Amino acid sequence: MSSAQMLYIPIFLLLAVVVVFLTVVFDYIRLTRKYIKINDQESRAKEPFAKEASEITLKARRDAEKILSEAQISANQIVQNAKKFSDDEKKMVVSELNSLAQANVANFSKMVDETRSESVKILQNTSIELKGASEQAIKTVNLETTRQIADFQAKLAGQIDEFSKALLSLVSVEQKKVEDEIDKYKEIKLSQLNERILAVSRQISKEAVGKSISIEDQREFIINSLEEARKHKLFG
Amino acid sequence: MHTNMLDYIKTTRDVELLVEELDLVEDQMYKVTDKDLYDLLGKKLRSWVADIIVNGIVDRGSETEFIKELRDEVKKLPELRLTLAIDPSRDIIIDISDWARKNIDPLIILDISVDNSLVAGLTVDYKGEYGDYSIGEAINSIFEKRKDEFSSLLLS
Repeated sequence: MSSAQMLYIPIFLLLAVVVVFLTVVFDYIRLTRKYIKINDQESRAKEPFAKEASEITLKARRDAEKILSEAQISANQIVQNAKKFSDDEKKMVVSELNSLAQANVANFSKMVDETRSESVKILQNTSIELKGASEQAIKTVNLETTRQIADFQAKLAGQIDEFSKALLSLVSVEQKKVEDEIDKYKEIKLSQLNERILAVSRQISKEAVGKSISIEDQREFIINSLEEARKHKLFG
Repeated sequence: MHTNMLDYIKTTRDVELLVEELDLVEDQMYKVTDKDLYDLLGKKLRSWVADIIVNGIVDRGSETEFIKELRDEVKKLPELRLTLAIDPSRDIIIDISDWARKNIDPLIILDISVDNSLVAGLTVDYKGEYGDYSIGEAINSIFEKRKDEFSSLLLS
């Protein structure tokens, strides 16, 4: 190898190192930009979902409150109609129904909070490359939450309906019992009235017949009665 | 039994009155003389009772025994218990007594009570046998048999 060739080798190596260095620098810059972009996109992706989740939670709470309110109104109406119940019983029924509704709403709220929390966690673990999948996840979460709300509404409505039916059935049974007792009472009173009227009629008949019988007729009746008794072998 | 006495004794009340008179004679027997006793018989007793006692004492010879026997006899007379719708006159009592002595027992005495609700006729109680032959019972029976019919008329 000549001395000139020996001189170009270090220059060539230096240039190669510089090229490699620049490549690394450019790649670093590109990657940094990419990271910044990803970060921005991720934040933008998170923002609507968080808003959406918040709205879902808010809507769920409003629905739950509405259901609770309706349940209370229904309970009050049922109790208002159930005139046969005492005040204590009414209070007890309202209290039971309120407890039932409140317990369901509490469970529902807890469930929505858990769903929301779960959804956010899933999104936080999602990279920008999975943006499409995240959007799908948002939709799925939305659908699932909506479905759960519908389920909850149906379940609560079913429970209220069942409770209402049971309550109305109880009221019907009580009403039937009271009606039966009234009918029985009326029957007894009518029977007593009939007996009384018949007794008075009988007495009037006797007095009318008695007044129309003369002493001679009385004598005849007495002897005829004795003859009748004799025919019946009353005297042996 | 003095048969003519039964002409006067028809009811248990008649027997009671006779027994009262016999008790009086018995009570006075030991207190007064024979003369006073006969005066008492004439003044305090009904004439037919006085006659029976005088005749009886003469026949029997002992006042005490006669009075006792007579009282026992009338107390043992068989009774026919009757309830009538009216308070009967003596004529009606005699008619009933005649019928009873002819058809049941010649010595029978009537024990009569009154219940206006019988209307007419009578009830009979004789030796434990009872029968209601009154018009009141007949009316009761009619009302009882036609009770439903009357009730439906009342309700219509």
